[in-house]
Amino acid sequence: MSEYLLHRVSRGEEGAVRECIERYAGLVWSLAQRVGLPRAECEDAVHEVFTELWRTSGKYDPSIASETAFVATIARRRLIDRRRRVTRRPQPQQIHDDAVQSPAVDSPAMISDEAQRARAALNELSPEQQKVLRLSVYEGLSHDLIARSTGMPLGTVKTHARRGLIRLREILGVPKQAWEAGPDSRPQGGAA
Amino acid sequence: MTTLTPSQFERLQDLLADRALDALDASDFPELDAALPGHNARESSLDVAAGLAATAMLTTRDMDGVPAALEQRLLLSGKAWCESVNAETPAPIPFRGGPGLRALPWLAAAAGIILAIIAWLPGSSSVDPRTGRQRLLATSTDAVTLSWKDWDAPEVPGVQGDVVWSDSAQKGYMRFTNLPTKDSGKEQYQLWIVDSRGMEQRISGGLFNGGTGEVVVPIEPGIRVQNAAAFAVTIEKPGGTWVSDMSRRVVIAAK
Repeated sequence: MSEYLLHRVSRGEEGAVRECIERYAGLVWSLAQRVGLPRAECEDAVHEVFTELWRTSGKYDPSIASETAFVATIARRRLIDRRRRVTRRPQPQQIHDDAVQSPAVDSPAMISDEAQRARAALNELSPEQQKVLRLSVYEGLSHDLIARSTGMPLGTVKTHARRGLIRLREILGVPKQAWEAGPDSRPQGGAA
Repeated sequence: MTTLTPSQFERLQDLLADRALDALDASDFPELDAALPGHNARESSLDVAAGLAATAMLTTRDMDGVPAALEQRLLLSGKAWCESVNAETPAPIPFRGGPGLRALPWLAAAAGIILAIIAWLPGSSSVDPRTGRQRLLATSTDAVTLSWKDWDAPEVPGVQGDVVWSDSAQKGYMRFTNLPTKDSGKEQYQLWIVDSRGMEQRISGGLFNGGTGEVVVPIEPGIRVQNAAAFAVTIEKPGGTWVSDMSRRVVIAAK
C-alpha cells in the first residue's frame, strides 16, 4: 500500500488530511498572496485549492513530481484561474527599483529539498531569464509591465520567460507528458 | 496520426510556457485549444516547473501564518472529504486523534458537527444539512458562497448567513441566524432562485420555517437551475406560491 501522503488523503485518512493541511496550507496561503489576488479573495482561493487537492490526490504520480511540486502546481493554476475570474491582474502604479534590479534579500523559505533544488536551478539560468521569471512568478507582473519597467522589448521578455522556464524544466528533470506534444503525436527531432 | 514539425512542437512549448506564466494573449487561446484539446484540465511539465519556481522564490517574509479561521475551514473541508470517501467504502477508517494540542482542531470540528446534529431541523433530505453543506463545499469545484443581505426594507431585518450553491451538482444550502420561527399553519419562508432566464422566470427553491440559533436549510429547486445569479427569500402563505408579488421581502444574496 502506498505511503505517499496524497494517496492516503485520497483514501480518506483523516490523519493524512490533517497532515496535508499542516504541511501545505502555509505554502498555498503564501502563493495566493504572491499571485496578486485581492486579500479578501485569498481565503476562498486557498479553500478552493484544497478542495481540488482532495479530489485530485488520487491522481498524484510520484514518477512525475514530488508532492510539494504537485501541490504547488495545482495551487498556482487554480489561483491564476481565480484571479482571472475575479479581477484583472492588478497593475501597480509604480514598480520599485529593488523589485526590478535585485532579488529579495530575505532568507529563502525552507519548504522542501526540492524547493532548494529549484532555487539552485534558477541560479543556472542567464541573469536576464532569472530576472524575467522572478518578476513574472514572484512579483506577479504581466509581461507587458515587465517590458515597460525593465526597458526590454516585449518580445525579448517573452523569449526570456519561455526559454528560462523550459530550461528550468530541463535542469530539474521534470518529465514532459505525451499529451504536451499534441493529440496522438510525437515531435520530430529534439526540439525543446 | 499527426506528426508535429520541430517548429510546431516548439510553438506548442512556447504556448504552454505562456500558459504556465499566465501570459497567454487572448489571440493565443484558440490556437492552444485547437492544438491541445482539453489542455485546460491538465497540468503540463511547464506548470510543474513554474510551481517549483514559485515555491523556490518564497522567502521567510512571505510565509506568514495561515489565519486561524481559514485553518479551521480547511480542517472542516478535509473532514467532510474523509466522510464522503469513507461513506463509499465498506470498511471506513476511524479517526484517531493525534497527540496533544494537534488534535484540538479536529475535536472542535467534531464538536461543531455534534452541535449541527442537535440543531438540525427535520427536512426532506436524509443527510444532515450541515454535513451536506460541508460535503458540497469539499467536493464541488464550482460551489459559490454568497452572503445574505437585507432586501430593501425587509419585513424581518437583521437576518444573517449565507447561501452555498453548485450549478453542476444542482444542490445548495442556506444558512441563517436571527431568522424567527414561523408557524407553518399561518405563513412560511419561500426561497426564490434567479438564474440566466431572469427575474420573470424565477424558480421556487423550497419552503422552510426558520428557527432559533443557526439554521441550515437544503435548497430543493423543482427544475434545473441554469447559472444561478441571485437567491431571495420572501414570506408567503402556507404551502408557498407559484407566483409571488415579492412584497414581503426578507433577504437577498446575489453574485
